[in-house]
Amino acid sequence: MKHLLGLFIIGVVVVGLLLSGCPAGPEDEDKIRVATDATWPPFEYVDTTTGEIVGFDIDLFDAIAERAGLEVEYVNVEWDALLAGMALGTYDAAISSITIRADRLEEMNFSDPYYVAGQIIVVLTSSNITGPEDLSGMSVGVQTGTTGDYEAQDIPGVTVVGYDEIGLAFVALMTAQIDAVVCDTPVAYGYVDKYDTLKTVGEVLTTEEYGIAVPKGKEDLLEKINTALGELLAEGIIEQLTATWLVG
Amino acid sequence: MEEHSKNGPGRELKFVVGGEVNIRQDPWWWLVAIVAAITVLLVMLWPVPFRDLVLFARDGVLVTVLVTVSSYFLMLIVGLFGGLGRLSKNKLIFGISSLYVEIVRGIPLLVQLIGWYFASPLIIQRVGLWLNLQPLIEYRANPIITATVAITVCYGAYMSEIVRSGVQSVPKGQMEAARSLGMSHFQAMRHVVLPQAFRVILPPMGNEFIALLKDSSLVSVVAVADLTRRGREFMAAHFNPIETWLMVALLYLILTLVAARVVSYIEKRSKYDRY
Repeated sequence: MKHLLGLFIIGVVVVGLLLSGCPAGPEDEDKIRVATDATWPPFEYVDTTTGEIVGFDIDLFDAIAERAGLEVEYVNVEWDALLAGMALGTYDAAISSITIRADRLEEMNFSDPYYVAGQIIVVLTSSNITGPEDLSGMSVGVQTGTTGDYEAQDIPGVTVVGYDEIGLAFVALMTAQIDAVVCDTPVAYGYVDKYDTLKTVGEVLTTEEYGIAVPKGKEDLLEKINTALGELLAEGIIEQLTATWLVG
Repeated sequence: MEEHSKNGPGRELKFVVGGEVNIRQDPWWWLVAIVAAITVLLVMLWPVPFRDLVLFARDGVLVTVLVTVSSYFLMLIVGLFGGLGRLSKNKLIFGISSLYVEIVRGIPLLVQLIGWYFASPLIIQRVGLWLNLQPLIEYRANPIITATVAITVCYGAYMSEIVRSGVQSVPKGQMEAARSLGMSHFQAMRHVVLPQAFRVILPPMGNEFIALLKDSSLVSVVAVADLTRRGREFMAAHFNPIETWLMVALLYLILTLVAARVVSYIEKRSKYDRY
């Protein structure tokens, strides 16, 4: 223990070196930082073999950026932190299957809609639930702060159980801790394909439109995005991306 | 009963005076070995998903260790000053340290992390606008550094209390004797009191390191790609929550168990004639 002080000083120096090696944000001032919660396949998720963020939304934004002459850096942020960050203007834009909603519009701007999705109920194959009417008195799992959360709260007689991450809701469903899960159709289909103990029931509950979020005060960026998006939509980009990411 | 090595002073340190187990045979290392063996077995028997997860999450493990180690060293400094401040006769210093400890201990770490992550860039930018300093206006927070600072501030408060209790456990006679030998207050602290206090606080210090390692998982909420976040990303991409979380738990367990053994070793090395 004689050399404790020396070791300690070395420790602090090492810490300083390690921390100073961390990059302090985008290296290039012209790059825009686009936030996404890459835990929502197939729209945005991390390809675990390459470590890259990939998905429908990513390809779409890459196309927009190319068309609008922007350089993009994606930031992988948790959902709640993402929405809060957009309200505060921490990021330049966000594309993350974000549904355009009146309460969100008060905090941030949205581009024109680029995709129409819906919420759907997922249950165990052994369940007798056939639609939202049967959910009265049941517990429904959702990801907190998503439109699935809001939808489930509107169904009468339902106990909504919120999770930080939709995967956790599905685990609860598969272990019969809750009776159903409500979430966006692409994610629901992904889970149902993977696990034969799950099935979707009933009609798609809502129609909602995804938009690219841009913080208030960055209207010129919003315009660039909308122009590029408009051109790409007219060229049928959504059909192309659907064929790549959503079919099968 | 004491076991003395027959082979002279060079080997004595390996036996704990007081007759306990030889450190080399510390049975808890077996637990580390078993957990590591389970992990390796899972990776080898079911490479999909376990090996993929381990390969994917290895940068997450590094980030977790980086955040933990950095926060820990910085926390020790904060704790030392905070603890001495809490013992100070100077009312201002005592007041500031006590205020710091009380407030920080009263807010959950998760809330503090989120606060630092969102509030600190805003505050810095406002200050920048007020003082008209360009680098401050364009301040972009590095999530890892922000998270490290938040954890340091939070755990520093607990460390302050630990340091204070360690110093108070040293008999007042030590300070009196040191002062009567002509040492200043500072010299007495540095050469007599603090070294003795250090031995007392070694177990809680080790405890704080292990607690910090687990609490570092909270940084996944503020955009830091640590092991927990990598686990979430993997689980989302492959729809397999149970396997993913099992492996993430095992990886954390290995880290904490190894840390606990190191702490145990250091404790034994610094014991003298106490329990």
